[in-house]
Amino acid sequence: MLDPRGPRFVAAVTTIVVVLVLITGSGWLALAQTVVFAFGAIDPRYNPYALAYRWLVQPRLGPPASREEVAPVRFAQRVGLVFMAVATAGYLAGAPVLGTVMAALALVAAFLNAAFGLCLGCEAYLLLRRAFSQVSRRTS
Amino acid sequence: VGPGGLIVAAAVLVAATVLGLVWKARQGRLRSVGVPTPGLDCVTLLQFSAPACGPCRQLHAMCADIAAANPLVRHTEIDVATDLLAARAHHIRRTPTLLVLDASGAPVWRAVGVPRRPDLDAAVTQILDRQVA
Repeated sequence: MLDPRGPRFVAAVTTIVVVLVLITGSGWLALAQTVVFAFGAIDPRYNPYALAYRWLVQPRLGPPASREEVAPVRFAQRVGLVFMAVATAGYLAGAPVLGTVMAALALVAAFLNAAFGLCLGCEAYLLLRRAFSQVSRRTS
Repeated sequence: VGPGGLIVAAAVLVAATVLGLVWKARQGRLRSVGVPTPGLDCVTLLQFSAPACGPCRQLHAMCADIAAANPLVRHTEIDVATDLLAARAHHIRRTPTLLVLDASGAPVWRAVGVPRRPDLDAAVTQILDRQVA
């Protein structure tokens, strides 16, 4: 179970980093964000920004009012990983348009989560899980 | 690198803000899904929730409060994780989803997310008024 403010904090930092990636066009900064997502893809609590939240921010906020499931957030981190990995490849391989498009899509998701609490990856996960359970129901 | 990246970033943030505002306005909006049948005088707030869902607790508190204040209103909460059949029967895609049922058990209002309290109060009153009339 996650403190829901953690992923929100992670999304806010991610938003700033991806904006910087877009402005500078830096493949190396995109790579750094990709590595950050890779840790989050293993477990959202291992995301370096989430560790910063737990050590620096959460002690000042007190315990959360509610907890949320880990699996949807992990799925969202994996989607972020794929997008930023392709963006990194684009920037570093001399295809800045590909890098810009993928980073822009990652920015939409990160910003919506940070500013509105709307986690697109989590919604996608829930839709997929539902679709999957219906398929398995039909075939069983 | 020219100013292209900066323009893209700004455009994305503006577009995402519009998207977010639209999403937020739609959250918890009560949609009319039926006409209350005249008859017995009661309303059921049928809430579909999931474990580890923060807004579900918020909605639970709101519904419990309305039910406590009005003896004609009943609040029932269903856990979609344990009662999959009920969730499928009502096509529950997200939690919390709230169905406002009339005395016959037919859904009259439906909201995904947490509705605003005055809107929910109005929906309940509407059904009670219609059923008495």
